[in-house]
This record gives sequence, structure tokens and C-alpha cells, in this order.
Amino acid sequence: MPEKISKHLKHLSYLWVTDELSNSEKIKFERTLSKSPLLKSYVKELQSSLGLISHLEEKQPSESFLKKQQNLLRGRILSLETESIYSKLLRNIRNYLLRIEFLLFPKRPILAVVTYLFIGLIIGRYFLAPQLSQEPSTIAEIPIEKRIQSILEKEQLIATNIELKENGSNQIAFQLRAEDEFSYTGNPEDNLVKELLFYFLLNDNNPGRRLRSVKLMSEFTATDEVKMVMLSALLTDNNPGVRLRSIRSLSAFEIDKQISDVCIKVLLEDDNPAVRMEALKILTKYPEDRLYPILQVVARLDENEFIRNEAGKFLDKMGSRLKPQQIGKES
Amino acid sequence: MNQETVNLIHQAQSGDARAFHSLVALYDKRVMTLAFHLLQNEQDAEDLYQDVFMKVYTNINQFRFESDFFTWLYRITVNTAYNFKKRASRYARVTISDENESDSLDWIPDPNTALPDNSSDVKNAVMNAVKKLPQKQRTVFILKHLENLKIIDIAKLLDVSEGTVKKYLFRAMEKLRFHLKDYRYA
Repeated sequence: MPEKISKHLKHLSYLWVTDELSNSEKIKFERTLSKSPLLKSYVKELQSSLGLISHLEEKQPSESFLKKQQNLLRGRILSLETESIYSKLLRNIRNYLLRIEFLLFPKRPILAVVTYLFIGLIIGRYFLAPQLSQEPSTIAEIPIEKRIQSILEKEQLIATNIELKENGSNQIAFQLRAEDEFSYTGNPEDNLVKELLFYFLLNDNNPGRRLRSVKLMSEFTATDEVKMVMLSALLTDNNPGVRLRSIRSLSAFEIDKQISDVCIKVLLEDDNPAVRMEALKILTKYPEDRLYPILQVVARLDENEFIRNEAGKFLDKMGSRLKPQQIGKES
Repeated sequence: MNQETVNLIHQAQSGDARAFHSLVALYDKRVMTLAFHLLQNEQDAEDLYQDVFMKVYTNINQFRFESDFFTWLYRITVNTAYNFKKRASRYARVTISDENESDSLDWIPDPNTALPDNSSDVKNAVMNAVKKLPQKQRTVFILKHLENLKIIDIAKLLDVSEGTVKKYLFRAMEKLRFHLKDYRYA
């Protein structure tokens, strides 16, 4: 009998104890084991040590806990997806703005250059070299629309006032400033009025004017362009009043997947409870099955008790509408 | 892997979120249990669960059906646990009191392994002994003795040879024998 157990035998002992030996190896090992008390004692010691391992915590997560984790995961995935939708939305807005640029700079650049040269010559002739002209001329002679678009392009336009005229004409009046002050008035279907309001909503530093812009935009026909600009303001404006007004105006649109996706993002992420509440209202007006897990997250985790309650109430309503197996899958 | 699972994976790969969440529901209990075994801390296990399934969601198209889906999932869990510990250095924070603070309703002790209160000394000794193991030995040991995987499966999972797994297991066992010598036959 060897005085010391070889490393190889120790290896085999462990594999034997953990039932990892093949049949032939097992028979061979057991034969050796029966002949060696020292090996027997080692194996017993090994079994005793392994027995202690059962003291390690063996906890199983509860079903409700797993459901909670699944819902959190849904929220995270949704947020990830919405982020990509958001960047797509920004790309769309950029493309839209580029389209406006194309309107300003048509597809025939040579013709445009010739036109600008001609305009430049006229301006030079009548403004920069007045001695050549017998007739005094002013900047006011340039059509106001062209002038505004040119200033818009340079991003130098400032609004000092924007208002809806109170004479019942439904016209929107802008008091504008670039190098000098001037005004422009047009009805809500006027393209320039739209462009001005889009511009001020997305660029003006003054939250009051941004708020007025988004309010007046609700007078517009609900088009994709208007929707995109409102969605952009809802997602990016740092003023909760502007975001609130944007989301309220959006509720007048037909609620499509794009609006619904943005409302989900707002409901989960906006820090203003009034804005989140509006998002919840829109979403619950057009219930979809995919809302169920999101509302479960909101009902449990929203910091505002009222929103949690409202989400909970709606969940109850949805629960009675969904089939039990749908709830099971979704929750 | 049954046909239903294969179909769910195909659907999830083509962007079907519902199919993905069905896959999560099929496997998440085992992932959560493994996460707990690897980190021995409930809060960390929850974070690891979220990280693992977010990785699965973003990388599901990389699953090529060359292994069982669960093997793939286990591999992601083990690798994420490695990085998780490296990143957060949370392993050192694990204490018994942390565990006692967690919501007892969320984790249910396995009735088959539930122990009487007077075993807490032994339990602490075993936990400390396992925690003292080097990471690879510890992972292999947990997969073998807590997840009850065969050596051949652990080798496939970790993409190493069976010999390597045996070597890690044997070394881990020798260290545990040494650290637990005072508790044997207790």
C-alpha cells in the first residue's frame, strides 16, 4: 500500500464521487479502492467536503419576481427601440429641412446663380450706387416673402411678437426683426407662416414664443410636416409648457404608430408628470395589446401616485378585454 | 432544443419582440438562478439578468443554431458575469447582511436545500471558501455542483477541453477540502 495517494488517484476519486467516470474506469477504480484503506479514507473525506457544498444558498426566484424582471426588460428594450425611432425622426426632420432648402435653391443651380447675379446687380445698381439712379429705392421693395426666406436661411430672424389677429380673420401676425423691424401677416395655410412657426418653435430661445408658436400650429391642417415638428418639440424642448402644449396638439392627430411610440417614450422618460399624464391619456384612447406591460411598469414604478393609479385603472379595463393567455404572455 | 423553441428563435431573429419575450419567459428562471449562483448576491443577480437579456436581444442574430440555445445563453451569462464583476468590483461588496436586506418574497429558498438556522456557521464557511476560489475554478465548480452540469457540458459551454474542466474542478475541490477541514463530519 503506498503511503501517499498519487495525484492521479485523487483525480479519479473526485471523478468517481461525482459520477464522471466511464463504466470501465469505474470498475477499475473501485477495485483499487477496495484494496486501499488510505484511498477509502480520502474518498470519504471528499464526500464529506462535497456534502458541505449543499449548505450553499440554493434560492429560486419567485414567479412574481421574474414577471417584474420581465417587465423591466420590456421597458428597457422599448426604450432602446424608441431611441432608434427618435434618431430616425430627427433624420426625417433634417431631410424635411433639406427639402425646404431645395425649394429655396432649385434643381437648376446655374439658373439660380444667374438670377442671384441679376438680383445682385439690381441691388448694386439701386442701393450700393445710388448716384447712378435717379429713383430712390428701399429694401422694402424686395417682396417680403423673399426677404423673410433669405433671413430665415441665415438664421438671423428674431420674432418680437407672434399673435392670432383678433378681427376674426384667423390670420397670424408676426412682428419680426433682422437688421430692422418689419411685420408679416398670413393665414395658417400660408407656407411661409408655417415655416416661420416651425422655425420659431424649434429655434427661438424664448420659451414664451415657442409656446405661442406651438399653440398657433394647432390651427394648421394636420399634416405629416406639422406632426414631425410637434414630435420633435415634444422630444427635445426643455420647457415642460412647450412639451405639454405639443402633446396636447398631437392628440388632435390620427394616432399612428409614430405618435404612439413617442408617447410611450414620453410616458416612461419625461420628468414632468403633466406631460406624462397627457401621454397616458393619448395611449389609453387607442389601446393596443403591447401597452399592457408598459402600463404595468408605469402602474408600479411611476413616481407620481395619480399616474400610477390611472395606469392601474386602465390595466384593469384592459385586463377584462384581453384574453387571459394574452395577459399571461404580456405580463 | 424543440421545434417550438427553434421557431421562437427564428421569429425573434426577424424582429418579433413578442417571440423574444416568450424566449425570455422560457429560460429566465434558469438564467436568474445561475446569476445568483455566480454572484451570490440578489441585487447583482438582477442586474446581471437585465444585462444578459439585453445582450441576447441585440445579438440574437448571431445565434447560428450550432449549439443548444441554452448553452449559448449560459455562455453569455458566464461571460457577462466575468465582465460584471470586473466592471463593478462588486464581488468584494457581497456580505451576508446585504442578502438579509433583500425582499424575502422575491427569492424562495429551495425546500430541498433549506437548512436549519444552526447551520449558518457552516454556510458562511462554505460561501467564503467558494468565494476564495479563483474565478475560473469557481465558475466551473458552480456549474458542476450548483447547476449540476456534466463535465462534457461545462467544457462545451466554456469552449475549453474536458481535461481543463477536470483540472479546474480538482484544484477547486482540493482548496475547498483545505478550507473546510474543520467543518467536515460536523
